Amino acid sequence: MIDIIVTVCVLISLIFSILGVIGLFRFPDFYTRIHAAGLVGSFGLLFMGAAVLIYAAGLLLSGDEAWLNYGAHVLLALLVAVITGTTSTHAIARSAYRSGNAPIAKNDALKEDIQSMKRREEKRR
Amino acid sequence: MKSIFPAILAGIAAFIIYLILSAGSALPNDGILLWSSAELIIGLILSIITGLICRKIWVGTSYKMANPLRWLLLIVYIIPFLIELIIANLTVAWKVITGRNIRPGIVKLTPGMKTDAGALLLSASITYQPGTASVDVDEETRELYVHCLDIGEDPKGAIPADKIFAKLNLAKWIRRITQ
Repeated sequence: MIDIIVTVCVLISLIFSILGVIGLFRFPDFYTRIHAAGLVGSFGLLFMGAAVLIYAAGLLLSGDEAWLNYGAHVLLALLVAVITGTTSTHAIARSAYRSGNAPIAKNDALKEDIQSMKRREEKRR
Repeated sequence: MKSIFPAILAGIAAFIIYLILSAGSALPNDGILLWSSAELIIGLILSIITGLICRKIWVGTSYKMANPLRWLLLIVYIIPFLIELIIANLTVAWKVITGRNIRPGIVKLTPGMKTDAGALLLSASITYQPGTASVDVDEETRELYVHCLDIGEDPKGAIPADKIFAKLNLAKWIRRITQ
């Protein structure tokens, strides 16, 4: 029973990862590709972690001592991956915009404000 | 003496991480709960050293988030966040498959947060959802510039933070946690 649930979780994770990679090729510019990569970072990662956690629960039910190692390490890994993934996505997008990579966009609110924002940041330094 | 509080907080965080990583090390005749006494002593020494190293690199001025009740609320916050995450993932996956309804754009978001922690949590929540990513932030007014995969028909001006999420009002949750 638990084997089936674990397999389903891994399959969902793989499907979303594959969709993310396809999106990297299909989407038109840099910023939309970030969203496609976000699929891998969110559901691709979370369901793989959930698969390991459910497997650890199965070990607990069958009386194996190793469940604590699996569970604790995967929980910590998920937490760190979520925090660092979010931060790096923001850092990449911000540095791309500030180095002059203009997005394909119907509405670009940042274009009008970026110059005054840079000037204020210079003044504070 | 002003730097004693950051040192304690960093030390506690390091000790908790050490406890998680060394869980299950208890020996049959020597151990407290899940941990053996040798691991606890080493962890305590290492976390005190970590706290002493980290006491200078504290940038915050407010200690509001040191309250454990707020951390409990932060854990409860995972549930509405996951519901919102499921919707966002399915939407973006459908857009990848069909290739339609892709109208990218950057919108200005007035978060309405009173604290830096609230602005941080809001922008992190926005960035982690596929379909929205915060590109830049105005550090004085805490206004976010969010790149959306689909901004709708004709967005005008700055939109409030309560409108950016699909179903649930996560901004209200964040205000409850951090204020």
